[in-house]
Amino acid sequence: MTTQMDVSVVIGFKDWGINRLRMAVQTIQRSFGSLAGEVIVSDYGSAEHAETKRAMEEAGAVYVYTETDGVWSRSRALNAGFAVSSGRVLVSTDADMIFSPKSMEIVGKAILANPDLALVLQCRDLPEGYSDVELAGRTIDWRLLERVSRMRPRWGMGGMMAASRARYLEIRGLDERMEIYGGEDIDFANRLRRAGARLEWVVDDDVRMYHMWHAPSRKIASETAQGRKAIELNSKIHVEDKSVIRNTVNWQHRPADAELPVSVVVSTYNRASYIADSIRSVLAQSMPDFELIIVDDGSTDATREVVESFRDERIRYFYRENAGIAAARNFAASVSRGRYTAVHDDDDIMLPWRLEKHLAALRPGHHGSYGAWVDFDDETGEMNLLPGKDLSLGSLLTSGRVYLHPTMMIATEVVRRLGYDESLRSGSDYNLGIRMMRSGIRLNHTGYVHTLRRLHSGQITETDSVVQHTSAVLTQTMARVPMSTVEFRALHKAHSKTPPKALGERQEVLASVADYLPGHLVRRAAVVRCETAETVSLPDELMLADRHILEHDWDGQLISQIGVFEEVGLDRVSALQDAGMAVEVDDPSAATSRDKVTLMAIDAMVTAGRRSWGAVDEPVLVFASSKNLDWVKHVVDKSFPGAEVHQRLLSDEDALMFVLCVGGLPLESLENLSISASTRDLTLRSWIDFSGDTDDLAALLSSTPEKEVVK
Amino acid sequence: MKFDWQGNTDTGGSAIVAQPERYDAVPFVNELLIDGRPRVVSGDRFAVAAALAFGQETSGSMDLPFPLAPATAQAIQQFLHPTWVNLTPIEYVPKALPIGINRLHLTVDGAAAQPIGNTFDKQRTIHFDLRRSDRYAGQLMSLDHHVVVSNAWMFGEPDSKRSLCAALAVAVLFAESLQVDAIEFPALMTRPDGLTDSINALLQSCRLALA
Repeated sequence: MTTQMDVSVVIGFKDWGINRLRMAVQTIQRSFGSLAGEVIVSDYGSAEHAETKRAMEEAGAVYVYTETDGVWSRSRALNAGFAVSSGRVLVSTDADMIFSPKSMEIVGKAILANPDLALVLQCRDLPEGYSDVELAGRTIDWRLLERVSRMRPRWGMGGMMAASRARYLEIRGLDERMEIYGGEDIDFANRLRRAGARLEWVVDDDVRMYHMWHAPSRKIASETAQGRKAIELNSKIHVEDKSVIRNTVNWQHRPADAELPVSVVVSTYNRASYIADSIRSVLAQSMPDFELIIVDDGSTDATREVVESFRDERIRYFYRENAGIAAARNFAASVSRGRYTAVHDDDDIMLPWRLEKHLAALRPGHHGSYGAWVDFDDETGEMNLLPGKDLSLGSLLTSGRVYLHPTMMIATEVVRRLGYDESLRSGSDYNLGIRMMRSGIRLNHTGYVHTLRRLHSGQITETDSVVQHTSAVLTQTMARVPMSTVEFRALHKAHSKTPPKALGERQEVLASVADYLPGHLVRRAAVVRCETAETVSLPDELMLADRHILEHDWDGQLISQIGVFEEVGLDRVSALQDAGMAVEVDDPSAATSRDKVTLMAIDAMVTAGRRSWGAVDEPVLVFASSKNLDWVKHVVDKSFPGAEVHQRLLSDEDALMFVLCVGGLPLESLENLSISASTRDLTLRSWIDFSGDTDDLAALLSSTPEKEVVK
Repeated sequence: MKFDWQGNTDTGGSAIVAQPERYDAVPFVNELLIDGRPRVVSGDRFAVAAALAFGQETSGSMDLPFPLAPATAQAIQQFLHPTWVNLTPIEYVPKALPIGINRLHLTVDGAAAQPIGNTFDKQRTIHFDLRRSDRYAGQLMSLDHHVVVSNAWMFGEPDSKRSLCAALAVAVLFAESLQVDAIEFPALMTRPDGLTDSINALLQSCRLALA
């Protein structure tokens, strides 16, 4: 960001008339009045753009071009413009609007005076004969436009919206899932309201926005199947999604001054043996936009060395004299950059979806969210699901296991203002919960398990249970002061049997989280698939895979890779996710065999829709599938006399077939096979290198329990 | 904004509850919680308290649980100007406003108050001290002092317009029970932005005033 502007106006467009754009830009520029303003023209993938760029820069606008896959998205186009803006007030509008001379000055000043205001303006349609062509080159007679124009009959948000930069950054812009257009403005406006901005229509004779006449384009968009689908999705998002913050996992057009949505806060004391697992679990989050604040409360063990062994810029480590967990957490709040604070413990595992689910669950009037947790025995791995309950003063005073503090995400402002009570050696988290409820703070349950809590002999609940209990009793006594005995009895009756939150079948929930237990309790395997040419270039991490399958086309070009990891730690998961790859985790409760891992990889090829033939490690062939298995077998037998064929039926139509040829397999055989096959409904598209042990593969296919065919 | 008055909450207090509607901002906290219960609250004073506590988030309408006088409605509209607000229900039958004779000296969190020296020949001043709900619980009263706990402090930063207005809202709710005529609020009087004039005009509409 260079010079700070008062107002930035962004016009998002694709393949739009230069003349119309120029008129929009010029009328906006003239309407800034005494304010410093900029107009940003965000070209989202126009086919021809050199001429537009030249014309817009000549007109004094900032021109931004985004390469796209051809799909128009007004949301993304506007965000791309705002990403390079510097205004304290951000205004979105369209390429076919012209503004009366004082418009942006009045709009800008209103929001500069009250950043908690969001303004919308209803446009007036100009009639046929008032297109950009007719208006160009003329001195605009604004009184004439006022007479001939008519208020747009469709009462919507389209046209112009204005909000403070702070509010825009807080809710992370327009929702980038939305494509084409329709609904993005109203969704954005509603989220501004939920975040605390009052919404007002501009009612001022000096603020006018006129729509230059042109043939309607909405009809055109809705005429295509893709357009209709996009418009339906947009509608679904703004009607059903009541969340406030969007683009959490990936904000494509993120401004440089975007705020951090979350600070994860860990306070630690002499937990060198556990904290590595804790940190790894944070770094493996699906939502990458966070900082991890670790406050070392005077550890005398190797905690510092363990923390510093992680090379991740998101980690901020602070060492302080021992002052207790409450003081450590208050210190973290004082240095936090995140709008929300996710509390995490140094001996627990944060599940990878936790931060994403926290943000998705934020609702209007709520200051954060919490979730279920699973206690696990650090020696045996035995697990116990604790869903949590509806959080209220009543439930906290009369019922147990309502929430676990390290499943919470709370607005950092709330943590700063209430603070943990530093005089409490333990139990300050329950105390904070009661005080939050008494102060009108509300948190909702996300419906997900957030945390695996490690049960071990060094826990606070084990070592300081008397102090913890005493703190709780004192806190409860204070909170009950306003209530008479009769009132408390009524409260008890209403809340003491608050049921646990329903999360689904217990065993299924436990199975879904067991993958993330510490490495000494489970074994993990992962298959990492990389499909497109653009992403074939993998980091060293994948090349260190225990085995891999490389798929080539017949020109030798690598077209996909599958890597197989037999022992996956949370740190590896994180590295792979950073490379943009999803990681599938196998059943952790059973020991993972090499065969099983291989099968996972092959299944991954099949489920990815491969209909290919290929060589595995030269002497072995893989047939991915066929619609006529008998015929395929006939072709194989004919092409490779004497070869050993193993087949595993996946369904009545699909099979995997492995052909083991003693003495290796020349590629020409494959080509011959291709020619034979292509006379029917199969085509040889690619061949596969496999780095594993072919004996394992053969054994695997041979041991397939049903529908086995061995020649 | 739709408002509700909970004179007896299940946790031993009272509350103004604000339910945002289509154009309202969602308030940071949507309940003004009080560890105490005013004996009586008139419709006009409730409306003024609601406007003080939640006016900043209101846009379009204020739907109140009790009727209010046209003059009070007009004063609230002026207080919230330039935001346009329509208030309902309006009371069309003339009703008496509560008359008080005492002065209420409002402080927040035990801020230093002037010594209260009530004597038989002077107007009574009651020191109304509003305490933070995260540090205290309940209420304590003598004829000279009333300490009440509320979450008004959560409405904004200390000494901000938001938190001062929320604190004043609590005082307005208790004004009739304490037979108050005028409110001294030293923290408000030091503000240079003309806020006191607009608040005074608002309070006048329900027969109160800043002293």
